[in-house]
Amino acid sequence: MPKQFTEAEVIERIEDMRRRRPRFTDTQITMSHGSGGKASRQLVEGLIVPLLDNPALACLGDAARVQVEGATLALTTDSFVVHPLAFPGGSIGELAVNGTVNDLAAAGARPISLAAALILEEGLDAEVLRGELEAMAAAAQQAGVPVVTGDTKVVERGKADGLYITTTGVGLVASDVALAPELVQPGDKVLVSGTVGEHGMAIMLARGQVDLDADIRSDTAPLWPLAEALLATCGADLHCMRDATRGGVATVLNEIVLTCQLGAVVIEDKVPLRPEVVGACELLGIDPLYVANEGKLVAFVAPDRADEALEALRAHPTGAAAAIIGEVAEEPAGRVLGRTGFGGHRMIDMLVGDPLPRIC
Amino acid sequence: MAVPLTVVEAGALDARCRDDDGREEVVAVELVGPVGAGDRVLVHAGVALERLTPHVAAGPAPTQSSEAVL
Amino acid sequence: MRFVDEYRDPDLARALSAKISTLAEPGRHYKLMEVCGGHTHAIYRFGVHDFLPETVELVHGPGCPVCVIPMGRVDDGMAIAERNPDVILTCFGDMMRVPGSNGSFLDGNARGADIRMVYSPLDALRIARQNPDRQVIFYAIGFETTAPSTALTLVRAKREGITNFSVFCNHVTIIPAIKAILDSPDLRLDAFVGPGHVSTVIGCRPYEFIPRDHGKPLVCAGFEPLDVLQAIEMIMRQLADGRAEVENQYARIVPWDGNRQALATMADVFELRPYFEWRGLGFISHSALKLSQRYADFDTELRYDVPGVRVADPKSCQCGEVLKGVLKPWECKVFGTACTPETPIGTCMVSSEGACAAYYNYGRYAKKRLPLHV
Repeated sequence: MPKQFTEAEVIERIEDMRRRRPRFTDTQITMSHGSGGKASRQLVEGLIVPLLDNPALACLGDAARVQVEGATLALTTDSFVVHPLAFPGGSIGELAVNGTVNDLAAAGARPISLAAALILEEGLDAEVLRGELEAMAAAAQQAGVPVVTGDTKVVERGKADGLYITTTGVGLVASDVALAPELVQPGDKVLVSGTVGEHGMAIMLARGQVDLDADIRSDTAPLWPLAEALLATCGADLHCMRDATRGGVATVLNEIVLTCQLGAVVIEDKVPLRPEVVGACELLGIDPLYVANEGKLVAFVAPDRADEALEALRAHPTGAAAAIIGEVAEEPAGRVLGRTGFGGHRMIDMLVGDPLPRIC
Repeated sequence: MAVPLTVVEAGALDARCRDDDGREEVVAVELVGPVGAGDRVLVHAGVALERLTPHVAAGPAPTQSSEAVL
Repeated sequence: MRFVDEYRDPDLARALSAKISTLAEPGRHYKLMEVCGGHTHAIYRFGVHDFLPETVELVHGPGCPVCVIPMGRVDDGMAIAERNPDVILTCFGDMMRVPGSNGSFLDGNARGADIRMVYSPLDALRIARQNPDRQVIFYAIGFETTAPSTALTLVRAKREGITNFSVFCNHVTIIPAIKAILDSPDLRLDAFVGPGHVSTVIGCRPYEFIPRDHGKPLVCAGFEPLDVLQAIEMIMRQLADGRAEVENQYARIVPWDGNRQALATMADVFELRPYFEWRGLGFISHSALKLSQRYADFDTELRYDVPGVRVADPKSCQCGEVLKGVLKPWECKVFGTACTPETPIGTCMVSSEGACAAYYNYGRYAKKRLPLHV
């Protein structure tokens, strides 16, 4: 007869497992490994990081920090493989610039310049390519970050989905900036810079897999102005920032609390959502907290500075819908709880694989 | 997941329906008989399962006494 | 969604919570089964437990469409998709991750099969129209909520003379499953929270044997958290009064007699299988649907060589006991350790309606009372 555990013991056993470094044991790559949830974490922390091991990589932030003769540089890279190439609210070219700029911004780094590598599929319409390069140029100009170098490769028809773009960005971190999950304190307020879930839902609808017609546009936007405003307003009271892309706000919060071993409580009613996104999510049975964004910061701020931080975000058009959505507590360590509008509580776990619509 | 939607434009087989927030989809309405613009239907997996009377669909929040809803 | 918000009012929830506590007889332990996976999901997703006294226990039932699919049927779908390169297999999103003995449909895609997620069987038919040189199969699952959509899709396919479309039918019916639960010797239930959307189609009458023959109340409930709380309040009132009846909390949507048109279409398209294997519950007679003779041309099982092998669940998996409500999710030997949502061993851990996945994803926090007025 195996030992029968109590509910509390079972929960504790699961937490022990969650705290362990994830292991990569899969025999092949599936789409789940790219979704930003648990499988992605297993791939990154269980395979890639151990093999390329070094202190800067081990931090696993949006961007790595590198010390160069007294200055702190932030370095980041990101590949863009979105299908379709253009979607309501944006396109791959704009995404490729903003995505990398935002990884730098979330690390507290002023973006300096970008490199871009293009992988083109044989047969790609030249006008499509021209359009995406124009979108990159426009986004780079809006963000104030030039694309200063690049590379181009062409692969045979069928070996790529039209156009893939990889961008690499370098930024400068001011000497007084200290941002890390380990700096998050109990009592910190959690801020989000605007309405969530729009990018992922816009893509899902643009793919035409679901026969829905809703006015949902990607939120792709450069975030450095918001990050800069928060840094200027809060100084050392701004403890951590993240760019809530794949896996959405829920995944970002889980990553942070797992690192700092504190708990977070999200007041679900306070999460800014456009009604169209709520409607589409209700219909598809998808939780908007797990849906990707391409222009939303999540920030952890000391409680007595939270209102000022909110003002600073709202003063900027990109942050007009910013809100305080929750706070950090000692318990439950390593976990995110949601207080539902209904008044009950639930766990908000990491995403497993892509958010798939449920049926009943 | 089944959601109530409002018929915007009705055909014999399909109807364009809209939710309270303006999101639209085409719904098969053969199982609920003829519908007209303004009708409310309960939709599951792209198919209307039931017609809701406008009174009921827009109805009040659940009452606190169970007898009142029966 | 204003329609929905009014069913999530915390003040009404607290009022219902107080009534339920008053109706609970001191010293008595209540076991109520919510039959439908949609309810299980709503209960955990909205924290309905936080409004119930500790003596009112919710037991999760077998009504999760994905959870009851046996492994062999997953393998059958996979075999068809992998052996026939011209096949596009389509299914609902939460079916993609269900493990067969040869992996899930997601793994099948990684190996080169073409298995696509659809939101409606009508979308599968659309894919068939758009790909006349491919064979499109809809892998149908679900109870009476979903079966009408499949039936209607087949009616349209036949009407339009579409020949490259077929249905691999795994539709099941709820009443035999409830009977199997009631006949299970190891479970003592006080009452049922009845499935809301299934009842939209079949109505409330089919449940009348439950109070009549078994003396237990059933209340059909909607899927908003207040619906569930109100249904529990109605059940507790019946139990306090010593009554056992079928009641309809979800009268704003569920007609007492169901949807006759939908039932007629289903009767035309489907016929009962003599028996069907349910994950965990074993073979249950007259519990599932197959395509009728009139629609035989659209029956994937007649068009393709289907392995049809019965595959036993992994030994460690206790989904059967969880589906019957005998075990709570966390009482399963492998819950949360070997079996997690990312590496599910059993079906209950796959769909967000599965008791294990719902508990793991939403309910897994220390159940000390959390303050409601922070």
